[in-house]
Amino acid sequence: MSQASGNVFIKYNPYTVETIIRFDSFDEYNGEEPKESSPLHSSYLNGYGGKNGKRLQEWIDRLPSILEKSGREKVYTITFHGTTLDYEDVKVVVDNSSVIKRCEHIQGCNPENKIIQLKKLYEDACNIGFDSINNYGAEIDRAFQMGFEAYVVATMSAGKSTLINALLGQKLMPSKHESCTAVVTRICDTGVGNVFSAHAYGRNDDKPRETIKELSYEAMVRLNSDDNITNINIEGNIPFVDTKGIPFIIVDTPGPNNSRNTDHRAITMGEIETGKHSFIIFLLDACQNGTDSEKLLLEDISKAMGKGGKMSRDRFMFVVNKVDEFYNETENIKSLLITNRDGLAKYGITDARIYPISAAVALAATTGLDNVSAVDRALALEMVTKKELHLEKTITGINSHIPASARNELEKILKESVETSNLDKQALIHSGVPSLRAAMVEYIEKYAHAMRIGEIADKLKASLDCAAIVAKLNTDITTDGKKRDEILEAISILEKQIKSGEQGKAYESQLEERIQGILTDVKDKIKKQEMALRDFVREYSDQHKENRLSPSMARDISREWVRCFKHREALLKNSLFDILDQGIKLSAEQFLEDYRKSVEAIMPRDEVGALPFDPFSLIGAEMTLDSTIDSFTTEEEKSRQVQDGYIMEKNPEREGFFGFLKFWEPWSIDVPVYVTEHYKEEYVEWAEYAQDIIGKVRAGIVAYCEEATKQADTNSEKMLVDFKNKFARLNDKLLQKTAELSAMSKNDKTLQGRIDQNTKLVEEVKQLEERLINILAI
Amino acid sequence: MGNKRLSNFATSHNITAHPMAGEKKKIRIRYYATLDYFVRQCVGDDEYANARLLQYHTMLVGNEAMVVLTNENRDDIIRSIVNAWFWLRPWRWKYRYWLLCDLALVLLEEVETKNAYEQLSVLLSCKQTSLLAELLVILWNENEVPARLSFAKELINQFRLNRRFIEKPLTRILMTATMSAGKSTLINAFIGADVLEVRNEACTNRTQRVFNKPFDDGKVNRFNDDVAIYIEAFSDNRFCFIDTPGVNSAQHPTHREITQAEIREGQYDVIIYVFNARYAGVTDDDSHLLYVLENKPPDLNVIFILNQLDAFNEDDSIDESINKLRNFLEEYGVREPIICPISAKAGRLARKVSKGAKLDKTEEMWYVAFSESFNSPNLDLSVYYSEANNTDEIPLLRQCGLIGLEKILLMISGGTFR
Repeated sequence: MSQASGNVFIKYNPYTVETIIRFDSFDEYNGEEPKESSPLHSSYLNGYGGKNGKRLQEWIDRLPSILEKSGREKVYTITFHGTTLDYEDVKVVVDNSSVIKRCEHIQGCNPENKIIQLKKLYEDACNIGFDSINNYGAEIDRAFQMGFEAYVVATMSAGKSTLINALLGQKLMPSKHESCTAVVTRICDTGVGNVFSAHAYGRNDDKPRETIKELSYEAMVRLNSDDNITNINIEGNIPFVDTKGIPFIIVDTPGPNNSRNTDHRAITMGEIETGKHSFIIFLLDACQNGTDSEKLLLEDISKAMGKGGKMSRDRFMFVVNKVDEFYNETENIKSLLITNRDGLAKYGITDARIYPISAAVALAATTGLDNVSAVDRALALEMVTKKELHLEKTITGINSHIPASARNELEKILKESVETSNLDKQALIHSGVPSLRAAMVEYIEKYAHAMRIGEIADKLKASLDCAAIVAKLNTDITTDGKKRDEILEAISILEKQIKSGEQGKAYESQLEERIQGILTDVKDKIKKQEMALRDFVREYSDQHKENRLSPSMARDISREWVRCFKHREALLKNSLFDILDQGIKLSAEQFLEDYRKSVEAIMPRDEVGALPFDPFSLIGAEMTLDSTIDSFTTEEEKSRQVQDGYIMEKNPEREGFFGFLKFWEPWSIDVPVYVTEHYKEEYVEWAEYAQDIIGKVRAGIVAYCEEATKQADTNSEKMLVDFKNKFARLNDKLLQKTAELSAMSKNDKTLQGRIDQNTKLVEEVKQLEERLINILAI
Repeated sequence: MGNKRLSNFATSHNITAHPMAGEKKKIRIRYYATLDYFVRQCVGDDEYANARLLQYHTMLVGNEAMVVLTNENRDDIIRSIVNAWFWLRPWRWKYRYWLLCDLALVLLEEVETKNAYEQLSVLLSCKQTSLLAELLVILWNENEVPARLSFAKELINQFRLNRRFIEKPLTRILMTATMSAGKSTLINAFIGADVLEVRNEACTNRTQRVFNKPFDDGKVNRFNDDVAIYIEAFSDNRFCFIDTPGVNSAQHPTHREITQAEIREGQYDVIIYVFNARYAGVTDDDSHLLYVLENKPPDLNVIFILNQLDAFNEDDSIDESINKLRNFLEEYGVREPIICPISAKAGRLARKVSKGAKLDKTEEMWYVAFSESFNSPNLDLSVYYSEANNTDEIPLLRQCGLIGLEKILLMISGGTFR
């Protein structure tokens, strides 16, 4: 295969996250595998045991340098077998590389309809009806229903509500209250209908306080200005976002300065850091107003983007709004965006994808230009007439990639609307919002879809495997006499154990011990967090050593401090969520799993259900950092020279004979008179003021950590009770199962029927497994 | 920048109808060389004088080769213009009068003009000197120009206008805002032409001064960042708008320092603090506001401008925004703040239209849109100004709040405000 030399075959399956690489080959069956030491070796790319596989986007941009280092050839070509979207990423890398000459695409199965196929498979499995699918049912249902979230974060007055309205295609989010709202709004795409409905919740509410069937702008204004409302869940059809089976959710979070509590801030930060089922839309104002206020969030984003290759960079879309309003002849949009890019680079955010948009134009265009105000119409028309304002053009944005198919589609619509002089449509496309939407859908299709398909398939596979084991057990017990005796023996021992309750008790006391252990661990971690936070505060308090500051300076610094401490507080909450969530919940589940394993032979897995664990209920305390500057302000008497009018004096120029002749010089001149004026200057004794703030912060931290420890205690108590219940339920199930198995093993006249039924089930499960493999194939 | 230079900068010069313009090339060049020589003798290498001379150079010399004055030829050339060998070319006697007028226009200051006159008289006879002295007196008084000097009337009047103008008190208006509040657009709206660059971010990174000139000579004087231009609305008084950099730029923290230094140490009589109505009440704003309030001279008027009301629509309430801003300001101890709601963007277009300037296609479209939207009773801003009269030919000029604001500024400069 001489012509294959230098060709690299890459097959990537995004659903199973499996990669096959072969050198000097055009397919997976020939050629040479990468060396074990190479980062392209399957053990590295696919992980061990089919878990922790690496996504293509995590390593593809390093491919050229890896190939270059390997030194096999001077130039390479690539044959890529996979989805179109993944191929586009490969293409970008190839186009920018000197090592790889060209690449070819072997079309794989695109993710379209795969979720729907999985759903069908699941329904069929349910119809056949075996225990394990029922037991897994809740989990699989959840995996199907779990939405994909787009967190919209914006700097002050960047036009967040206008953008969301533009995405919704109608005016729902109130812009007036944007700067003062403390409400978290989630908008879930149901894909049907044209009215939105809403549920409004208060803090710690389980049931909605209010439900609105047909949501209107006025209702939203009312809900947003209601102090008792903290969450609004909206459902309806988000137009033009077809995410093919995954519910799409837009989450609108309040800004940093106006949050009444820091909980949702912590959640947003958590999503930025680890969100697997979300991406972040960071909306900026074209003139960079108030980027400082989101400084801390941008630093977090910068950190998160630094980890994990292209995929984690793709997760953040920076959207620059109002470019048309701030654009003028002296500069083009690109340079405006470059300023924005440089502004982001200051926080270490490089390679940001920056999309220019005009949300106002998009909203006006969707509403119809005939129905909007003269100014909005002018804004839209300006965009249509001025070529340099056509934001959908790729060259306008920075890294503002959208898939070729979506681009063609937009171009087609644009061409049609130019021909029919449809100004609404033209304005909409030029507004850049459809491009942004396409980029969002692309992300969902490329990552979310593939991931979700993988997750659901994993669960389905587990339940099918489980069914196969059960079926085998049943076959064994009905057909194989020796096996039957063994199993019956095991059952009788187990029954005895459960009934005597001794082993159960032993397990319970072990569990108690273990939870206590975890609790100590958690408290330890809280203590550590507390210390870290104290150190942080101390560091801060050392930053300013000045004795006296003007009130405005002091206010500036203290505001910056409060902002920083609030951010740290949110961080602390975030890590406490983690500690409690990971620490108690996971360990306890692990424990239950262990117990379950000990009886695995009889009952492969059982549905226990998620624990009723709600991190929201964790947080009670809130730092109060109000420190009045006035009590630290002192006045000081100062004096300065000020002019106090003039007196007339003889002009020295006109003295003497020659002076007399100088007719152009005046006879007298004005001489200013100065007086000393006393005035008061205000200043702040900084040390005292800082001490006050720091004191309050410290007290806040202590109170907060105490609260968290208390919460951990009650949580673990609750959990223990919960586990005991589950334990009992598990044992009941076990007893039921053993009874079933005993019945199954009875050698009576229904035996043949049971054998037939079982054989049929085995066959059906096998078919389902094959279908599943087909769905997942690339 | 010294006070003297400054007033020289803000004067108008219209020399398109200069009597020398029709002369022969050789004479024009010699005239210019003489003018240039005397100006240099009096003020040396002065940038404002250079700018003035450049205008003369363009008119008199153009692209022709310039004669170079040497020690040998200098006296001859100058004499040929000023002294004119009366007996040889008697028709040239007017030249020295024009020259003195031009010198006065360039130098402006009485002392320096006298100085030039004295140097000039060395070359003249006694009679010629005393006759020329008469012109000097006439330039500095208000009497009717005598018939025998009517050939220089145009230049004399121009000079008198400039002189009278610089004698008026100067009202210095410091304009400050956080970023992108529309300061530059507002100044352009006063002028009715895009003299200041309007950019959103970093552009205005230095303090820029805009002076008004006594009459329209169709020119914009520029020096470094400073600008002098005829502003019709303010032509009765001398104004200086001090445009400071926006303070809220994350990328240019030095802007804040520059602006704060100007507030602390600069000389000004009024402050215009521009709020962007879209961001008014956003907390980032108040540290700068506090700085202004704490560091401005006490008892100095601050006019708070709520700009960009063109971004408002029917859902937004201007009253509410004004009240919010008022409460906000009162919280900071500003008693009865003067709040002027305007749209500089609309004002700029309206002023352009009223000046007869041509609008491009999109400007035209915006003008129509603004005319419509500000005409609605919800957005008509003229109701917030008691002084805005209703006689203006372009309603938008009034409805966008520009006229009302200008009236307030005029009253402040005339000392009739409050």
